[in-house]
Amino acid sequence: MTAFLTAWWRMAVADCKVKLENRADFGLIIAGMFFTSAASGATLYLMLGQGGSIAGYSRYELLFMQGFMFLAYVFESSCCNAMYMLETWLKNGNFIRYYLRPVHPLQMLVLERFHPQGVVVAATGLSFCGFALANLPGVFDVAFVLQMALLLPLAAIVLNAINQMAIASSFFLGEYFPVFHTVGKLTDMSRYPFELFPRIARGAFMLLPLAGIVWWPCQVLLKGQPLLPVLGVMTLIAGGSVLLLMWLWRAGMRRYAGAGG
Amino acid sequence: MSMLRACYQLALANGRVTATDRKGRLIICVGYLLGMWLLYWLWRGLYLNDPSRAGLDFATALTHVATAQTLFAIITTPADWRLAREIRSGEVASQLTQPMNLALRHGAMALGAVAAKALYMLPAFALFLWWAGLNLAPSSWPLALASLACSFVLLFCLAFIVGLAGFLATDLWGIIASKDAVVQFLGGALIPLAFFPPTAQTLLHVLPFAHFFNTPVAYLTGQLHGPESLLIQACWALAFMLFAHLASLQVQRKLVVFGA
Repeated sequence: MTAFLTAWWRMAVADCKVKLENRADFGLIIAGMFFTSAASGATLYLMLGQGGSIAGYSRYELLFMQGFMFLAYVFESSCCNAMYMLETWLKNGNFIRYYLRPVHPLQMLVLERFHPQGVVVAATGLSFCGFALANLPGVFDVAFVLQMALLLPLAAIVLNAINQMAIASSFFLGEYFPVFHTVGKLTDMSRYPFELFPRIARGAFMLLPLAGIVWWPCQVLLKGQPLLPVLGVMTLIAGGSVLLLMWLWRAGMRRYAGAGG
Repeated sequence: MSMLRACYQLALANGRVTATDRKGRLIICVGYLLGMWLLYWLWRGLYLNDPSRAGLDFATALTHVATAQTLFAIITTPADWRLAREIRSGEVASQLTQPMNLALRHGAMALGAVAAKALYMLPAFALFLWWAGLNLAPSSWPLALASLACSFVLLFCLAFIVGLAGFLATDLWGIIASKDAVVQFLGGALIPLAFFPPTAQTLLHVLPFAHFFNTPVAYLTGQLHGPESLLIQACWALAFMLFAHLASLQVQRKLVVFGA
């Protein structure tokens, strides 16, 4: 593990230096994050209009849920950027090296690339959450911070596992876009209250690990549900998602045949 | 005439490439229907306690958003990514040696992709409209189709100009994400412009933003009748074409390619 962490740290430092060398590019990335998050926040704000609530959630609770989603995405944004290259590597044979290196393929993927844009995503998420909490009196205290510190990493694991499973569809279909696009529609909706959807959709969201991204954590953070049962459920969801992801990669790697690299 | 034939062949070839992957098309259509279904419940929840928001009832608002999202899925092309990739790989050098304007070449390819996507996504859209009990009722189909064509020109020119930034920047994610977010939000694809404050609405209709999605959707849903908005949209489409041409000439002066 020490060798892995040393290698990761060296790669992260080198990648940061390279990415920050071209400041115009990094500035454009910040602009991209700003405009996408501002558009999604403003849409929500305008949608709610004067009423200011939907399915029992206030405007600020919904903004907090959006911010929580951004924070859950930080790990993937900075550490798993290489996953979008999987399809290309499978096609051009570069993926062969994943069979040869002495680390787990998913760890190997994390070792491929680091992107400092994760810092921008984190800043965006914190801004959303901070603004929402400033308008939600009585929610923020020490217990809230502890609960968030416990639930956020689990939510990040669930989101990342779902997206990596979607990317792993390129083992079986040749391209990841169709499945990733479809899954993106679902994960995008998971930042809204599930109470909006009919019983069948709610059940499906609970069975699929989507509820573990925002809804379950926010039941504790915003709706005052006790932490321990939800933490148990979240641990189960996160563990199950990772196991499923590992199984899918194993099946994909068994199926893959390539040459070159 | 030979230029038109070349455009047709390019459009046909790229349309075929877009429509080749049957499994992919099916998954995209299922994903699209799933997204629309969830959108239905989101807007239904929104209108549950207030049956008239921003002067629109549930059916009108949902028809607007669903149509705009469908248009976004169909007429938005990856011309920006393709051009940027060609610039980075140096492939653009061999494209420039061909007896065809770079913008026209990419435009023809984008048109082929749009036609192919329309072929497999419009039935899914019709299915959703039927399920949700909604319908499109344009007062004039020619005006609605002309507005759609102008919308394609606007979106393609914008994507082409953004793709040209590949001559100046190495990572285009930020600029393309900004463009998509601004075009969707201010164009009325995420939320009808009726939800915006009145001053913003006026401004967005005079500027090109409303004409990306809001104008064609308003014609398709019968909210617009006269040709005035179409004329403004067509003027913006012409301005965008001119700007894309000038931008293309300007950045080609900076072009230095090794290899390709």
